[in-house]
Amino acid sequence: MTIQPNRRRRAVAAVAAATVLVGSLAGLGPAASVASSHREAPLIASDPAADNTDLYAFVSPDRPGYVNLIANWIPFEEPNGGPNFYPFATDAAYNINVDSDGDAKADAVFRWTFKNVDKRGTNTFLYNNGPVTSFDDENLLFKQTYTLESSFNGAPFKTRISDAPVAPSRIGAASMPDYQKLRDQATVQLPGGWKLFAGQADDPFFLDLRVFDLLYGGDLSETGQDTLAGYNVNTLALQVPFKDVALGGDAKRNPVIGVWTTTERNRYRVTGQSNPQLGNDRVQVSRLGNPLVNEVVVPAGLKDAFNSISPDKDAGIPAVVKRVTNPELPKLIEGIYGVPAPATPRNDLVEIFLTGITTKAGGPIKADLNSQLNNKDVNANRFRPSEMLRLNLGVPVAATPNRLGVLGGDLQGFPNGRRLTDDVVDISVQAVEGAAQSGKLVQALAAGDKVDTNDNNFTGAFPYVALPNQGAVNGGRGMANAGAAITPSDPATPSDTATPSDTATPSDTPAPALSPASANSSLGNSSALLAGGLGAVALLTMLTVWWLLRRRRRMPAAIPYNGDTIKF
Amino acid sequence: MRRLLVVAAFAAIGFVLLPTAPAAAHPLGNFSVNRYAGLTVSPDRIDALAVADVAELPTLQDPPASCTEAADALIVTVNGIALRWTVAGSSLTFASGAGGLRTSRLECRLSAPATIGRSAAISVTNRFRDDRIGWRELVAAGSGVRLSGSSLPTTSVSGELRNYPKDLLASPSDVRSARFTAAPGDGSAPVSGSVVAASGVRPLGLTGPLAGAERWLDNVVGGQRLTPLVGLLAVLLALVLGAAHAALPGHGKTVMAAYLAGSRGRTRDAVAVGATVTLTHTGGVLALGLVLTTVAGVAGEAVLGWLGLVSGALVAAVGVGALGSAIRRRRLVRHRHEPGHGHTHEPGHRHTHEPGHRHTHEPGHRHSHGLGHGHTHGPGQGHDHGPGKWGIAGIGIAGGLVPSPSALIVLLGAVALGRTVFGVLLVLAYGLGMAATLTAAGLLLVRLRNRLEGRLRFVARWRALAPQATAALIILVGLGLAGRALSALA
Amino acid sequence: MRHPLRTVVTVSAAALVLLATGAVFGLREAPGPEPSTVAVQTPTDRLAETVSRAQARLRTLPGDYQTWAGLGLAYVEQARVSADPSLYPKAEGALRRSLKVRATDNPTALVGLGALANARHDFAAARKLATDALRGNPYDADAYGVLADAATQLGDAPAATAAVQRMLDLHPGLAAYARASYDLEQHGRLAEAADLMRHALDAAVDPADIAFCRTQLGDLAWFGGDLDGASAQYTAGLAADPRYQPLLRGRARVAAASGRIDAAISDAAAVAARTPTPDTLMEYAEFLRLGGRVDEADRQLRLADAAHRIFLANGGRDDLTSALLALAEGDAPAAVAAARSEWHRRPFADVADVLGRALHAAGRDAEALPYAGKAVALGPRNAAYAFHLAMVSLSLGDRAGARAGLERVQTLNPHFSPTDGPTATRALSALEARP
Repeated sequence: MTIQPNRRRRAVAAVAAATVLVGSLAGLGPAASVASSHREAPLIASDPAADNTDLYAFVSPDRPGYVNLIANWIPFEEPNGGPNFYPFATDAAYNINVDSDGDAKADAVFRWTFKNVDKRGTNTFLYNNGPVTSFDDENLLFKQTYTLESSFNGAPFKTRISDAPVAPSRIGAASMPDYQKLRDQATVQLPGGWKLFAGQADDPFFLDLRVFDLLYGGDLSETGQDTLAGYNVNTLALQVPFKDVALGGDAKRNPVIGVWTTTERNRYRVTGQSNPQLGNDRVQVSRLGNPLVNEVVVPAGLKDAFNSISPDKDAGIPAVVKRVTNPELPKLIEGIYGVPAPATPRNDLVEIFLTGITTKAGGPIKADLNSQLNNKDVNANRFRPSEMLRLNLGVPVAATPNRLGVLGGDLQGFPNGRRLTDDVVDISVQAVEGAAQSGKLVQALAAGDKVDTNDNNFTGAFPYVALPNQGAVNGGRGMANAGAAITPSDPATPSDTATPSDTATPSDTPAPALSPASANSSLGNSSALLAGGLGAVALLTMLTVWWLLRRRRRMPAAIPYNGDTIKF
Repeated sequence: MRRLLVVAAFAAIGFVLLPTAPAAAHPLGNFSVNRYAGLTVSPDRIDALAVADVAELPTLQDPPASCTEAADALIVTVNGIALRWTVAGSSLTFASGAGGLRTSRLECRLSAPATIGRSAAISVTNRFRDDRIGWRELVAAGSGVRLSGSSLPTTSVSGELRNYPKDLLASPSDVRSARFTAAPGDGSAPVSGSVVAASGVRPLGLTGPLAGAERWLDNVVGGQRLTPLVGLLAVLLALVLGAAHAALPGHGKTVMAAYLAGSRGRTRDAVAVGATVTLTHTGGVLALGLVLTTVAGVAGEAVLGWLGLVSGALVAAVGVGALGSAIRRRRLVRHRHEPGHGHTHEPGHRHTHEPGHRHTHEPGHRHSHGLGHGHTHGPGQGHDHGPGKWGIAGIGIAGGLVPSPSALIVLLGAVALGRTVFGVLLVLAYGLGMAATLTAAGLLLVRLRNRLEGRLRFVARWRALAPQATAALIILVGLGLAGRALSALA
Repeated sequence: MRHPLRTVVTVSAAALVLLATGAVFGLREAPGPEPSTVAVQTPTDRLAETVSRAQARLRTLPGDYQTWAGLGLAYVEQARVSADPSLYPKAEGALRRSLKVRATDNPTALVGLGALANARHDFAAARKLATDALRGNPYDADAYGVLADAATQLGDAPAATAAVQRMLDLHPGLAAYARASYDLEQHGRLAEAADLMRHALDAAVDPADIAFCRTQLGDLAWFGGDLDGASAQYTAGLAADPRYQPLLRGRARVAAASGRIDAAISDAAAVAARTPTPDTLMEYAEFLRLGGRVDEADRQLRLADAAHRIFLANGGRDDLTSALLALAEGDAPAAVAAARSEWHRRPFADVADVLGRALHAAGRDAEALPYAGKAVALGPRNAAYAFHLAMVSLSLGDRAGARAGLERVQTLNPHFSPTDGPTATRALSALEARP
């Protein structure tokens, strides 16, 4: 081994060290101070009113010949969420779209727009100043009304009803002793037989959102709690006869419809014209068809894209199609639970999500259930695959609905439309693991998220969703049940009862800590001394043992050498 | 050796010069005024420690903080009646901050008489320079008085504004007021639950089943119902956790492996290292737990950081010693050793060993071996060099010096809840688990090495180089540990 | 092992003793009773709720890079709202953690870092980060927001407008409306800007967002000379969020313009105490000087200088503020150097204006003229720019041009500055007296 300094290696070391130094110095930024502010505008301003959460489509069990379309917005509404509670946006249009001929364009559009009736002025922020017994009660200081328009087959929109009441947010028993009356006032029947409802309701979705923590390194070990229990949503419900949504008005020949909801705002133009103004064309801000598409199919990176485009553009975005044919969730499940992922490309998922289950599209599931291709008057050449919830109006109402829908042998259930009682998480997980194609449930995942029913019972009549909850969501579930992943555009999210805020209230999270010796009782003191003493004893023991062994070895021992001798 | 020294020198310079940016600026921003008020409620009076940590600009902008101002701002009412403070002690110190400006720190010891009686409703509000942004912290503890309904911790999260926690998942403390009731009794009712201690110690970021096990253990320590079966399971679990923890990176397994493999360690050496690590670790946890419990204001994270630094330095020193001896051995010209030869060796005497050399001591044959000893052998006489005693001790101590945060938290939590002995038992079980894993690892290595001995030629060549290489490896590991601890401290 | 049996027996016995003691001792000592947690349910704003929910989730699921990025963005937002700079390092930590968990295909984290860069005035870096994010997710409205902010400050007006339009096409809402309104304002279309900001106000949910919209509406009104309108907006904003600093600054400006200097001083003092940045301190100094408290004004200027020094010591860079400070202290050559350096980095209207002022203060009016003219060209509805151009013209002897400029000032906003407004009026009367 030479001892001469190796110049080259030293140079390399020097360069490396220098690089480290320069890099760390250069990485400094203005870390802890604020410069004079240029104009700083909000970036992630919350927009909960445009966040659509669920869509349900099912044939009326209690009114033959009528179909129910129920859409929800604004998730995680805290029953105590004052002072503004949860109004619908007044600058947005809320739509339920129906496609009956399979070209992925809406053939029937139902559009709700809202207006505020605000008697508060700038004096008060209170929602009410006394018990509210009816929608017209003067104690109700803030309420909303809506106008419903509809358009069929591209015809101009016709107003069906204007200034109809929206059931207000349920504030509490003291303020609203008879909320059922408010709910009934907001449920209207039109002369043509349509039934409408708009207002707050219990969130009918039931699932443990932690199931989807798989995507972020979690596992299925903690499930069984309904993440949405106790929360409310804003609901728009519509009950229309089959003939108003089916192709050509004939639900016998053309029983399949595709449904999706959108939220739109008017487009504002600053470029391209002399007068910047709010135009008449609209921007689609959010969209929803099948449930859990964002979790199961579309990854976070495509969520924005998915929200912006209309269904007729789905097939043209290869990234979206690829997520359906090659989904991520089965691979994660295989990695963690060893359940083999079905072979890609997943044309069975294409059938379920993009075309509807049919034999006419060449998919692997050989059944004719809910694709517009099965409508007799459909031109197959104009059919375009697209993501929407497809319902076959001709499937009879099941006497005892099975929460596992089609996978449980109940053809009236999801993915053939969606009923309030369908357990879409379990169905989706099974479907993504190939159960629809094989016809057999994957036993390893049979328990699913272990949440099988909603926390509240559904009523048997329109609008079927339960009354909104009142009283704070039980915070005893702890911070671990914080729900779904948060993206910057996510809206209001639940605050557990222990929420630190930067208003002048005490922080609620108790920070457990130790008590200083001076404050403790004598027991605490002696415990601490005991612990310390034991520590010292342990160290002393070690030293003593070591010294003893060392002493033993000092003596010239005529021990024949063996491999176990300690050499100290 | 010189090469390594050069590299080490550069590394040291790099670490020293690594800017901990912005080094001098106040950690919570240059125009923050951070306030802390800690109350100690006794049956006949209330003592308060009011601290204000004023950043550069407010120090320059406003008149210097005074205890009169602090006392006026701290409003404590007992049964609705506000207390009038007397200032028992005050100190105002300045320190240099960013941009050539100074920060200031005011500490006031206040005291006021108060009668608690059977029970008293106490409210506390701190309005010190309320128009300024900054950290706002309140702490309340009872001395001979039991506090109930208090959402305030009993010790400071920030070490009384000395070390602001850098938790990315915690917004800056903003506690401006609180209410609770006081009644005579034993100490404050501590809050059970997860024990993220005031010392700022946090559990390891384990995921999966281990994390779940740790959480279960924390819950058991803090739970109300502790049946014998649960206690038993908890101790077993601590054993398993200790074993698992030792399997994770750290605790000097690499070093031990390198040392044993390269320096012809024996089975007993492996056992010895394992035992030393465990004893050091257990003792360290208990000692640190004692320190954190009795001395308020010690930042656990900082102590862990310093311990990491010392541990790394120790490992590096052991490596340096091993390297020195290895090099010395290689430089010695081979020469023979007559039997009956009694002699002493000075360090620096060099020679080489052929592999397989053995050495027995005749009676009367004495060697004094210094550190990194070297000596010569004749044929038929071999001397296997195990790691020096200092080497074993050094590695063992270094490996066990940094207490595992999980064990620390379990102990602290148990102490806080009065279950001290249970906590100590869990720590002991934890240590035993660690011992088992480390000893097993060491034994395995020794067996492996013994098996491979003489089997393969490249092994022989590796053995020739091994002492220096492993010593260099040990030095690097030690420097790395020290460097990491340094950067965590800075 | 010499006596394996003995060893085994010893070890087993020890283990049993250990376990038994554990069981016994664990049972005997019971912990103290838990205090009831004080659960105060206050109506917090959704930003704070988002932050606390994200923090809770990340404690149990640290692999959730999406939430890390969302938390980082939320911290940046909170720092803007509360003017608490200690949140910037937290934001950076959270965003870098998100990138550590997922380095590629993580556009949200890049957007967060871009927003942070904007907040720190590193506009070039922000632009690059936003562009990178858009490559990963071309439908990300927030990325367009960051890009629009950066492009505006860098002086790239067409790119800024294009980015704003894309934002409006993707996600019309408060963030897009606010930026579109600013874009319109930059182009001198004040009426449309106000309309759009009113639209944004309707979309605002959080108190801080309402306050922001009210501030902008008030500033727009003041910009157009409407003191009463501005005052009404600021008052309404303070009713929604009493601690929002820009509203207090606006109220102080209105008070000064109305001659109520003491009210202006007290508001400016509160702002300077809460957010002692160079611009707030300089404004406070200006009001103090107007109120005749010259010594205190000088002291505030020294503080402003210290604040800027700290900012520079922390690695920041803002030559525009350096120039303004130098101007306030009367050091013209330093002001020119700083303004020129900033102009080279970003040809923005404000920078042109300050460079013109600096050159004018240094007596180099011929050089000042083009810059002052450029500022007016970029901001035709800005009374302050028009005033500075008029002053330069006057120094150069162009009395007609100066008079036209001063008349323009009166039309746009005679209250544009409490110090210079009266100067402008006097100069105009002098010019009218002797054309």
